Amino acid sequence: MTNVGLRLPVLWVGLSLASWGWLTSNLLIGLMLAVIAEIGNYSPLKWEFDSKHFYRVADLNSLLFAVIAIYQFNEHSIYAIYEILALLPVCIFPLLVAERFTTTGALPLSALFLSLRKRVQIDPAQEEYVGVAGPYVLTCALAASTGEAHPSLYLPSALVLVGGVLIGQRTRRYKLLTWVAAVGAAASVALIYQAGISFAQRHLESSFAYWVNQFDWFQTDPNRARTAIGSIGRLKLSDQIRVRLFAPLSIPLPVVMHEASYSDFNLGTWSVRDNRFTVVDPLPNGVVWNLEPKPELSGARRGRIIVTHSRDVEVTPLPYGSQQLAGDEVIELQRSQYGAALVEALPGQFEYSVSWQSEYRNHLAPTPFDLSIADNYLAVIGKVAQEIDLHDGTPLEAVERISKFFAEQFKYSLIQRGFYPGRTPLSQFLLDNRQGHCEYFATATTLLLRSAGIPARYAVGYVVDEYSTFEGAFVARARDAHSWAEAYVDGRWIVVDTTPGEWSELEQANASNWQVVQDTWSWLTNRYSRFSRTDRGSISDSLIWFVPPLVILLIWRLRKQVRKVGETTTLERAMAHQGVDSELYELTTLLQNQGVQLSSGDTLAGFLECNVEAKIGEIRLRRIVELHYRYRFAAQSLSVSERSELRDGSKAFCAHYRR
Amino acid sequence: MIGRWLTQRKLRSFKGVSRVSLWFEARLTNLGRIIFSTAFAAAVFGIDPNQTFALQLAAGLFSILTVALLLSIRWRPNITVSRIVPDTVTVEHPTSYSVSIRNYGSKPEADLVLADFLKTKYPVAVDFMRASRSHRDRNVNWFDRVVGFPRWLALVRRSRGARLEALNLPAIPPHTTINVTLPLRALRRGKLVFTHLELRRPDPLGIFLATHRIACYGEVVSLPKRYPTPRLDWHSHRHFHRGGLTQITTVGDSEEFVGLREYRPGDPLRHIHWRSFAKRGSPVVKEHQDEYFDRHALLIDTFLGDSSDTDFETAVSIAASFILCERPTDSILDLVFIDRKVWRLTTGRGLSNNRQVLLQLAELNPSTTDNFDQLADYLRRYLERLASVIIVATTWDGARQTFVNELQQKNLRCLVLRACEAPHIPSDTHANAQGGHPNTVRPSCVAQDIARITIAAGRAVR
Repeated sequence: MTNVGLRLPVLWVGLSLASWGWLTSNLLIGLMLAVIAEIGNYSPLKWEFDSKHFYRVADLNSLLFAVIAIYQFNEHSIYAIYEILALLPVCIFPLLVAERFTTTGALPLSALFLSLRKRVQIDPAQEEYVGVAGPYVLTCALAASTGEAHPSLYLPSALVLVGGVLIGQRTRRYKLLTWVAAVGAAASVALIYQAGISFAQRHLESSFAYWVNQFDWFQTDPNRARTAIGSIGRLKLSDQIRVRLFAPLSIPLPVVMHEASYSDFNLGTWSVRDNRFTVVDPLPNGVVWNLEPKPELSGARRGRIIVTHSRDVEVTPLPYGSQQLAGDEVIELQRSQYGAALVEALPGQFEYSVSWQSEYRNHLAPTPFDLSIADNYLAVIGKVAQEIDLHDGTPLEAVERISKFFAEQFKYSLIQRGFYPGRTPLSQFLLDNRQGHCEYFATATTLLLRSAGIPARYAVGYVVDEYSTFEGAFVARARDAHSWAEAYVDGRWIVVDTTPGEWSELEQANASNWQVVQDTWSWLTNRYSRFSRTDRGSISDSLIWFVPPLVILLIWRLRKQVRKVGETTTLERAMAHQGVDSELYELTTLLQNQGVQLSSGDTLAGFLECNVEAKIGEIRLRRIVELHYRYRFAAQSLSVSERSELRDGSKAFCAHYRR
Repeated sequence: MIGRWLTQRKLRSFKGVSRVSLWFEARLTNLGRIIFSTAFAAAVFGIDPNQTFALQLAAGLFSILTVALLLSIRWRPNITVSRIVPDTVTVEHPTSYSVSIRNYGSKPEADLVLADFLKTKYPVAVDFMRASRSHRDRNVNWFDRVVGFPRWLALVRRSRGARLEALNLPAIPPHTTINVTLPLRALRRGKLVFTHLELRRPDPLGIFLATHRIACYGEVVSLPKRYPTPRLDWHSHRHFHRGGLTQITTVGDSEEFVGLREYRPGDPLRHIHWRSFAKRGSPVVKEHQDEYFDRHALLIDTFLGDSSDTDFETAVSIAASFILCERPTDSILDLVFIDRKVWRLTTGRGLSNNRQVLLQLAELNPSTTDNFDQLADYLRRYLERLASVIIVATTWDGARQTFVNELQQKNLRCLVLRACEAPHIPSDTHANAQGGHPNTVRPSCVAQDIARITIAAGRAVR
């Protein structure tokens, strides 16, 4: 049996628990646990546990941990990690109790690792025991880092706890002064590390932010949209379901869901100048927001939408022509002058209802930026505009000509093989290869519309045209993300989508073979998320009521194992006392009194064979010794006559040596 | 080909992981491991400083680790160490050896740790893939079976030959020698090579261990594991053979005097009975009783085939058990096997002691080519001199069965033992012994199977 427990100063576990409670505003719980832990350490009454009991405690601990983890993830989503960290001393407290309240004073390693249990069952000699008190103190120090009650005192208290652990292991090889000097050196290095970490963190954050911005296609940025224009190779987006739309099957498809619009284009990136978001006030009931000043609800289509938010505030897709939004999970709604809806809600999946009309009517007038074309593109756009004669005719005629131009002379493609030097990717798209994905078409259309004097914007969002019978909803996947142009014609914004119609089929053809698995997983997480959002309060509250009866049951089950420290079991007592009245001991005592000493490692039989004659009369020593051992360790096998033989034989030998 | 390439990459990564793990094991104390784990966890949880202050704890703990590491970089103690190991040990039999440590310094050395090291050969892809057939590997969970890290660790342990635990030494006063005993339990047969010893001392914070390596070579031969075998009825056969031993001084004759006869050319002069010569006037020689004994052959079929190393080790253990089993003093046992060429080692009647044969068995390697025909041909050459044949094999096929049938047709008793982890059918053992069919000995329960089979064999020959 190996014990790798750490020596700790007196009351150190209690102190660490109290410190954790104080720093994390759980002082009462911390003190209670501290008292229990220290009572366990000093109590004379201990449970006598074997491996199976420890396994049960460890399993109970795992269950407790799982319950707390599920509860916390339910409540706090991804931030539950920190909540679980804060409660870690509570989560693993049963292990500490198992160590402190049992006679073993340590935990078998196999209790903590399932893989070891089988091995130990085969060969019990492989069992190792570990002390959890030392790691527990450090866990308390780590868990206390989540506390905000006394931030300035966290580091000193943590260092005191760590110092206690260190001083407990101090080796006598070195003088105390050496140890103090080493700790002092460590403190100095810690100051340097702290400064270095702060410096590194500042630089890393800025670099990391830049890095993350490279991959902003998942979370739509209302201020900036980096397109894949100019990227070479195959454009591939995942099959992940992003939007679920629960609406009657009779609604006309596709449903275009708008996320954001942009006004300025340069070097492959669309952006918005002076983007202002204004808070939309809800109606008096607090859960309905009008998206238009005068919403037209008669004849409007209605649907329930589920999307996933990774942050508190995010752009939310809305069908074109959305009039009203309703949802009790929406905390706040903001809209920009470009039509993007910024919704504040808890991270994770959230649901809202929308009413929309078939046509898009934005109450916001165009800005001068909606007519601007960057200098890089003036020449190529002008050339194409001249080619299709955009400067004559009405705006609607211009829109038709542009649509016809792209429909007749362009192809949809997800692959870009290369670009000629000295030419922008957009000019190559318009003048040479005439194939690309939706971002090319939407960008070129927007700029051509502007060239014709029509205010236009580049818009992004999703096109919903797939019904999933599995989900019972219309779904939009990551690959259904789309972009198009918006044109301000006759006092309203209309959608001008010039991307060839086969784009959806092409994207679908690229679907992964794992889509079914992915969809199933997505459905499961969606169901769990909806379940936890709707029922978490009641379930979480009801779980608490299971705790007291379970604790009582546990104590009831363990009551039989309680015994005093140093006390022996009934079996041990029986084994210890069985046969101690054997008369042969009189012979050994007699011999020892006569100066013949029993050396260490010598057996009783060996001692007697060396110092006593083998036979006295008819009585043989070997027979008497054999009877003695049987009387001592297998008393049931000894008959009455054999017991008498042992008694008489021993007395005969004693009598002989007394003489 | 791709599978082998992947296995090689995997083995390389295992080696890297193992080296890192060994470094941590050798250089960090228990406290050090706990501090390191906590520092790592604190760094992970502290990655977002807006959520926790764990980064402060991580900085503190890493600074402690840094100082401890710096304080353990250099250590040159004035200490010598020597090791005294036994010549031989037996697989899985616990034994011990002693190490003496002398402190030549003027200060006492306390809190030292002594570690001993055996030569380790890391497994190659072929060994790794072959080990997957072991019954032990079949008992692990699917993940470990697919990844194979436990299998790799088992092979490394096996290559090392024994598991040596580091020992905490008592304080050594200046100019004093202490002797300590280290436990040794061989995990495999063959040569165990001790390469060096390592002394370790903790740094002032008790986190890192400074190490001092001392070259100290040593060798131990680990003999095969043996199992108790019930006595076989070696004398029950009626077919005795005239001896023809050429390696002992009393060639062909015992000291038993039979009678006198006339001298024939070629008789040794020392057999002349001078008194009768004087009486008769013509040479008369003493005639002694020709020496008769029964001779048995123990064949080890070293061909591995599809069997695992565990099966082969079991086969060697079975052979070793039969070499040491109790038999009449006038019987001779020939151990016949192929290791590049056919070997025959004879024991009994003072020809060679069992220990020498066991040493040969300790070095026996499995063969990847099937050369049973060569072995059978060799045995056929002196079949008429044999009373019985015991065959120990790991694989069994028609050629082997034909050879056994041939032995039985020549009225030779034959016991066939096959080491493999196959389902055992106890009711067949008696019939197997009579019919010359192989009796299965499972590596997981050798003692039970061997006891059952040999008893059945004993009954069969009565």
